[in-house]
Amino acid sequence: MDQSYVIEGQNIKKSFKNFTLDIPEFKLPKGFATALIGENGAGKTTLLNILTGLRLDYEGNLRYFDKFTEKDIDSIPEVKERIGYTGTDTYYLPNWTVGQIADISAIVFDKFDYDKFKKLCDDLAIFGPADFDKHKKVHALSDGTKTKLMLAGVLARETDLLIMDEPASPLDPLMRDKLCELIRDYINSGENKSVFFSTHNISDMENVTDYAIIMEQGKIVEQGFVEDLKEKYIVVKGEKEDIEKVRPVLYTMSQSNYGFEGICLAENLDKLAGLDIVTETPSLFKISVAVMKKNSLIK
Amino acid sequence: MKKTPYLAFTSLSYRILHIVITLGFFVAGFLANVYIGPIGVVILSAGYPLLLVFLDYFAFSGASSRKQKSMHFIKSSYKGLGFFKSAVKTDLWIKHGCILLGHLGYVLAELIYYTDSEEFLEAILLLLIFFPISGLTTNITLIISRRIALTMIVHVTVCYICSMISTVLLVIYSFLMPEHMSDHTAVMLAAFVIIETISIIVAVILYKDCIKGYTAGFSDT
Repeated sequence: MDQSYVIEGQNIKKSFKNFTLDIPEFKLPKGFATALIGENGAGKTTLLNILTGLRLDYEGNLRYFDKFTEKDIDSIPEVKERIGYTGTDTYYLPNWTVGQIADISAIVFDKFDYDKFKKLCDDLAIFGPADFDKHKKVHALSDGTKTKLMLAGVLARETDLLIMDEPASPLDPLMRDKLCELIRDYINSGENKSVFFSTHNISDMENVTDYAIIMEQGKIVEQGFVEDLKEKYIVVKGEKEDIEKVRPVLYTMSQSNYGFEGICLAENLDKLAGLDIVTETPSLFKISVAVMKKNSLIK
Repeated sequence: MKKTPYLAFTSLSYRILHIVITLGFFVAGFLANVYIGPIGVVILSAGYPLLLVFLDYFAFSGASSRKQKSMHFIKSSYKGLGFFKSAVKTDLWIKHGCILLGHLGYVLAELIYYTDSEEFLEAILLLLIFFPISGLTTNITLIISRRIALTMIVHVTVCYICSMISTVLLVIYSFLMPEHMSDHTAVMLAAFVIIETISIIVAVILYKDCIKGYTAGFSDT
């Protein structure tokens, strides 16, 4: 089956003083949850802002929903209407009340459902055990609750693509689990609904991630469906005396008094033939850390 | 029912405080004119912009700051820019209207307590000078306070500076004021037209600055 894409991009470039985002080709698969992974400063937020239309000063071409170009995002209302975006904790003005957020959403977004927003606020326990409080100010909410409020606001709209910048970071483990459930429900709520989120909490988000894009220093260094990545890489464990023999083959390696554990490309496994090693399927977290370590400036 | 952008963007307390401040100034202006005279009105006129700019902090602080990131919510909407433009424009009109209404207090005192038509005319002429000066200093200070996301302490300092500018302008004007203003009606009217024109130009600059700050968020800053 041919894979279709909700956003496709070519030659996306954005230069800052000490950093350049340079992505020759970008494809966001339609109908899946895609995680954007990378260390701090890798360019994740810049990329998300470009895709959402929050940053317009870049080079390159984008194609949204198979028919709109990057120029249409600021000239055709439908493009931004179909994209839901949640940002960091500065997303709302601190002095806004929850009621104001609902009022503004109803004005600036065509398909905002106030009753759904209210229900989501209750479901996510934004006001704790208390009832919906439209007078509650944003600055009175914790970082986690602000994120919940952003989720309620964006999920109360009818969209086809959710783009979320670090939604899991300020959330507690229970809420991260709920976030995964919400993402899954969103994807299952209609045909071709897609989610794209950046995250540092790879383990917590792994069970909802279908596709992963790993960035380092402004470039995409690895991407693919999680199942494919898990076949591409393999975890290798072995004895201490074999450390020097495996080192050239492994992406990353951690050592203990008893042995080593590392990750390598599955296709290189035959280079370790004859050694007393154990292999296992890596988690997305292990793959991501290995790929990031290989490309990172951190020594 | 959908609210207007201004009603949605600003909080109820923000709008109520505008009314309270305006009514307060109206009453204070009335009493000042009755019990103290024009000097009392000068002092009040200087304090009025201070209160309006201080209040502005709670809805539009840093609105035209190029580092303003808190607008991502409305920036992610196609209608966001139009919404923001409408809210800023309405707020400027309302502030201008509040200043005019507030200044009518001492004119009313003149109308009730001083039946002399020449004195009433002089009160009108005072209004024609104090009102645009208040508006001008308010708009100048708003350019500063909306450009930078200030801390509360710095904001209060800016309001204080705004008040000082207003006082200086009004005191200078008081010294220049002829003894019988009604003899110089044409000059006073010309002064009003000039100051009010400058005030409106500054208001347009302020509006454009806010929009520039909003759209600058879409690009490198």
